Amino acid sequence: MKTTDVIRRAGRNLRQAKARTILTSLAIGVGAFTIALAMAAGNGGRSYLDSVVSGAGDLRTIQVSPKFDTDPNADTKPKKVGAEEAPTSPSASTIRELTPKDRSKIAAIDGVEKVSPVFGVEAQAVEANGSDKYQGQVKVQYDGTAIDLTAGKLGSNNEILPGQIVLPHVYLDSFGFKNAETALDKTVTVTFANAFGGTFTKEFKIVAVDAKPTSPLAFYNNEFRISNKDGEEIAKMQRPEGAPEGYYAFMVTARQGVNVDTVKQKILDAGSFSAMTFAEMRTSIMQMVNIVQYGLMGFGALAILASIFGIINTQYISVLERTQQIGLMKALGMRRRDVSRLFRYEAAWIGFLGGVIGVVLAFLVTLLNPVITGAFDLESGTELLQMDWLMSAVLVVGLMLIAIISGYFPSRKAAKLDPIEALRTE
Amino acid sequence: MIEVKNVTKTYGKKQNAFRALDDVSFTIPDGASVAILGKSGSGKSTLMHAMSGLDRPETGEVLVDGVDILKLKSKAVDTFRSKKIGFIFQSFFVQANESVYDNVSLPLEIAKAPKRARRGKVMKALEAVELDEKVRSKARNLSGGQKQRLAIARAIVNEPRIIFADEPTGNLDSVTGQRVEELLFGYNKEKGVTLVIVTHDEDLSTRCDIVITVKDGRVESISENGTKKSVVAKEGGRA
Ligand SMILES: Nc1ncnc2c1ncn2[C@@H]1O[C@H](COP(=O)(O)OP(=O)(O)O)[C@@H](O)[C@H]1O
Ligand SMILES: [Mg+2]
Repeated sequence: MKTTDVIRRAGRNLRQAKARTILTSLAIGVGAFTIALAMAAGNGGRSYLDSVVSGAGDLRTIQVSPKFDTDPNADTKPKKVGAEEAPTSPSASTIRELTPKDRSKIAAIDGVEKVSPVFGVEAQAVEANGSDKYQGQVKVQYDGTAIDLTAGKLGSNNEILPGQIVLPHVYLDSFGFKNAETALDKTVTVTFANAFGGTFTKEFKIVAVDAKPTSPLAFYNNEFRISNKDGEEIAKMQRPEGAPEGYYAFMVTARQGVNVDTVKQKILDAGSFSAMTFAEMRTSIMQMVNIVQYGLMGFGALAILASIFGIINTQYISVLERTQQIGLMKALGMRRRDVSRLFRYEAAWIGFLGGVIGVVLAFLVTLLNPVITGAFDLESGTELLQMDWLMSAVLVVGLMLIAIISGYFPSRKAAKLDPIEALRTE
Repeated sequence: MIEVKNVTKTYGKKQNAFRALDDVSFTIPDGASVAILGKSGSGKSTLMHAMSGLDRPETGEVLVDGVDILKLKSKAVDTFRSKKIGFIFQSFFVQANESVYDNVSLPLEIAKAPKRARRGKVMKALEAVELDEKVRSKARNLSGGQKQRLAIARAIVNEPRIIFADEPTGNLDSVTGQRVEELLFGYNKEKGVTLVIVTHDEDLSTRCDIVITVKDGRVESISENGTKKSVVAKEGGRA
């Protein structure tokens, strides 16, 4: 029998047992749907993170902070004020601050182009628009991390200029702003502690109002964000006379063409620092996305495993039901090989149908992207689910193969049928 | 020409062994119409299966045009059946869910006939049994007589050399049965195709050129053109 004839007959046989075919295919479809959706989520998640992280600056950047972990050999003896590692900021508690010495140490490392210090500041109160004083956290925007905004606009690479401040949207009500737009260009007054137990204030112009972060993986911190330049100035005011500068972190830029990881290793070797490259941060977030995706795909694979038994069962029943048909075809000279092909192609059709059902359902879910975006409060136009059409095609073909393999035993039973027995009518 | 030589078919093993065919021999010339006549359970169907390459009796030879089909490889036997044999069964065995057209086209597909040639052959076969108007109907919607005519169309579509019909009128009333008989004998005369009819109906057997009477798995007699020759006598008083 010609292959096309076998395929056509297989298709017709399935159409004649519609309910059974559809139910069996649906079982596979559930697994296919889960896998296709997992792939879409992984795809969307990765490309979304790419867009977020690529906004978060240079892949040549290494974030260096003091080492957190307790070193058994660490020098625990009390130190005199003014000594290298003395706490300098009013807030300094257990975490060591980075020092100018650290800075020059790192700057001297081969391959380092630039070391930008990040200043830690501590605010006592914030007020605006004649409001009451509120507690608030002020943070320096030291890297190019994207900030999601409801109003206003930042400079290129998400830069905040000296004198500017980004208002957390949760303060709008407290400050008596009707909406984010009206808050723009208004002044926020921040009270800081100075080095002598007193306070000083500084005024900032609201350049933008933030929003909940677009990434469902990110936590939202209601921080006021100011420029690193302002941070430096404030840190200076908060530092006791004669004390060396202290930094919250360094943003180290590796020289163009130098391996960032090598530079990072050199920094780690240079002292008790912890260092992380942007590439690593990106990788660690990507890993989370991948884990979610593979987890989901695992469930899909389980569903498909279960549906294999459905295919085997369906095909066995089909062979039993069609004993006479098979007997007749064999009596008419149909080859064993062709009989077995007929049943295997039927199984392949079921696998194909199941795969297509699953992929189409997954595609329909991706049409809900705007809804998902809304639910997560993401930037509109963000697509967290992106169909991977090539992989979907591979999935469908794979399911056809799995179905064919599942149909092996039933098809062998059909091929082995004795036509005389099959055509016995008594 | 079909030559059956000393064919023995045993069902079961040892004590339960049962000889459904016992040393059967006869010859059928090309183009003859032959009735295999006998009571139910006498071994007619078993004999037909052996002659048509459906079954392989353990001893004996079945020579069709000089070739022993019992010694052929299974692939060659399949090809032999699909190219040279047409089958008609008592219970029709049409594929109820398929259209009349697809039922008739099945043997052509099995024989790998080129697609272009199929349609003409199918329509010709359907015209021969006067079912051409039903070509698009589902086989399940046909009456019993129409189903058997469909089975005849399926048997003749690939222009076989031999047609085996196992109780072709057994499930039909006499009028419809008559029509099926006419079709079979007409085709036999017109095309010179060998026709082997298995039947327990003596009236039907009288219409055949040769009547082979089977009893308890043995050939009891063979009559040609009405002149009865006793096989038993010819072989020297075995029974
Ligand atoms: N597969 C089988 N196993 C055992 N006995 C069988 C089998 N097939 C047929 N027989 C026996 O062989 C004998 C001949 O059967 P069959 O050729 O079908 O008879 P007929 O067609 O003349 O009615 C019967 O007695 C039947 O019971
Ligand atoms: Mg019989």
